[in-house]
Amino acid sequence: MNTTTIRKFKLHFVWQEDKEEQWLHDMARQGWHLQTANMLCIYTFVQGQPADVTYRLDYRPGVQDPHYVQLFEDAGWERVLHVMGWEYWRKSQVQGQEAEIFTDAASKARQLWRLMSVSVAVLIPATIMLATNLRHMSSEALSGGTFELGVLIGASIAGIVLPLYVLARILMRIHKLGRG
Amino acid sequence: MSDINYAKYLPLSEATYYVLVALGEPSHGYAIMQRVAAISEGKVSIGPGTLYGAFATLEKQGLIVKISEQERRKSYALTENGRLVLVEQIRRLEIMVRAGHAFQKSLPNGTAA
Repeated sequence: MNTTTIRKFKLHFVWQEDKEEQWLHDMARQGWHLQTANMLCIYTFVQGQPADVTYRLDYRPGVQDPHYVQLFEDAGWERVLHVMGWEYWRKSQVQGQEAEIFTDAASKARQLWRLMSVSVAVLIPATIMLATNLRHMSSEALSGGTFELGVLIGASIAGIVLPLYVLARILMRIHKLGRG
Repeated sequence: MSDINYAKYLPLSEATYYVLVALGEPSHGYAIMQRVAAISEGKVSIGPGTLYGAFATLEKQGLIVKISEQERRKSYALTENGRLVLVEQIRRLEIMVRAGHAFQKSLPNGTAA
């Protein structure tokens, strides 16, 4: 049998997994069902019947507990793929009803705290390393020309402003959940 | 025996409360989900992500314990502490409901639901 697939490149921010879920749902409505995705943000879709399918992402880095998978499968969820610590689950909608893997704000917030702690672990050492280098770089930049200054500003944004922005966005999501 | 610091556990969230009640009969995850939907008269449904997290938390707190494992399904039961915490929660809920009933009686006829 011949199956038609398409590939799409799409960037999603880690604090916007709900937008990604919505996008995957929209694709399914047009008959494109997620098959694989990789760490380069390339998604492969296989063509089928248009359907209302709920997609849900769960951030669970590390080796997966078989009981976790079994529990989701028992509840009617299909494990589509897992990449970079993200588990992709989907479930066909019954009478337009969207199912949820997290049914209260507290457990949804706990998933975001997991994301937060990993982000901190990854980003903070990079920031500290850069900060120590910046001292050295700034003395060079002051005696050097505009190129050195440009590198200095670029590195500051990439290594300090950006990580802080990511952490702030995740915190904002958690805060919003707290207010229901 | 009952030197439990109840403040550490109470009040239970609605989901946790129903999970503990459903564990009055030891069972595995999916059976819990179905039972909670039934005993809450359809008011509460528990998603697998929420339940998986609840199991981990309750087990760490010593309120539930794993009793068996079959085909990648873990069954849990209440511990003695789990039962005590649940009983104390029910006692407090009864006080809340009594207070609520007193309020309803104070309303003019017809406004109480």
